Amino acid sequence: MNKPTLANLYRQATRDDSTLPDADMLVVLAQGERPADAERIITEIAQSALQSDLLHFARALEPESSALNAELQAAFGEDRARHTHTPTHVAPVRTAAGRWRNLRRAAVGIAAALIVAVAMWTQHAPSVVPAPVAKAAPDRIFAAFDDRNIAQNQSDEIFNGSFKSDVIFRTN
Amino acid sequence: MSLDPALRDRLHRLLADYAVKVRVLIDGHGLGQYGIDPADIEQEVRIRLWKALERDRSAAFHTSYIQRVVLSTVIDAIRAARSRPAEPLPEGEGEGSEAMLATAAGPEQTAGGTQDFDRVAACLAELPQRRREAVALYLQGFSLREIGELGGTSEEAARKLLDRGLQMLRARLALMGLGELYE
Repeated sequence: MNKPTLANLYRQATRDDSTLPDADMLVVLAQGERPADAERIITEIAQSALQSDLLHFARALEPESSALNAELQAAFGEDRARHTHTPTHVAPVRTAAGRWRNLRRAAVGIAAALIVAVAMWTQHAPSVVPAPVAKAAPDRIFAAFDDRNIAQNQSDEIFNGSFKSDVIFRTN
Repeated sequence: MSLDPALRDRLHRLLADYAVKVRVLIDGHGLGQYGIDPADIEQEVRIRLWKALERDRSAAFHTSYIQRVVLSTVIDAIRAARSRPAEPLPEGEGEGSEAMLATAAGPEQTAGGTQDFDRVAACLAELPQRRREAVALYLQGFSLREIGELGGTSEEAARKLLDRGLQMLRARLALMGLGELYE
């Protein structure tokens, strides 16, 4: 068995630590910054092999993470460039086509609006109720020759029964 | 997120490569001793980063964000390992079990180590706080530059604190008959 060194002994004795560090705090320390309650945190790290190991690990992780960051940016950047690249001679044609397309859309829209307006007007206009067919009345000119009227008419005034004799020939 | 198939493949490859590097680092830093499986971490890191990328592309662009994802994964795995009940030794594997027990420290050795540590801790406690911290960080494997950064001082100032602290500690350990720890 190897002879224990002071560092081995110290690390062995501080290995079983129940406190798990905060990932954010480890990142801050790994970047060489000092958090607000640095004194307490550093005392904890000094007394914990686990926290020390995690901080060593966080520091070692930094260059690899930075490299991944750069590679991701490059990948997205190249992808964006590939999709946004447009040949210059195509642009005017695409613009003209776009204008024509817009005009067509506007025309279709106006036509559709007109159709809808007409349809609505037709639905909401006052309905023309057919007038009841009037009974054909006989023309006034020939009314006098209507048999029904003759039958119903009273006798003429001239031949009315209240005939009175002339006063001239009255004897008395 | 709808991605171009070529870009999707490239991103998958990048994350897979990065996860392998994370696994190598976990092995190199001996984090396996805390009950985590580096292969599980490799897979989990890849999944978490991919999900983060799907949620928000810009989030994955920050180096600190990537670090945070990995550290959270490792810390979660350690927490899960701690909450798992200890697995009993497999039966019928006598030779393996004996070999395992032979390499582990015996009860006397463990008790002796604890006693020694108690005396070292007592010696450390006698040091002024800044020297004590510098010595403790040094024993935890931090370099002078790192000790300076953590203590908010220069590397030179950290060197002075450490030198004086170690001198005091050596003298006290020698008094307690633990001078051989320095050999």
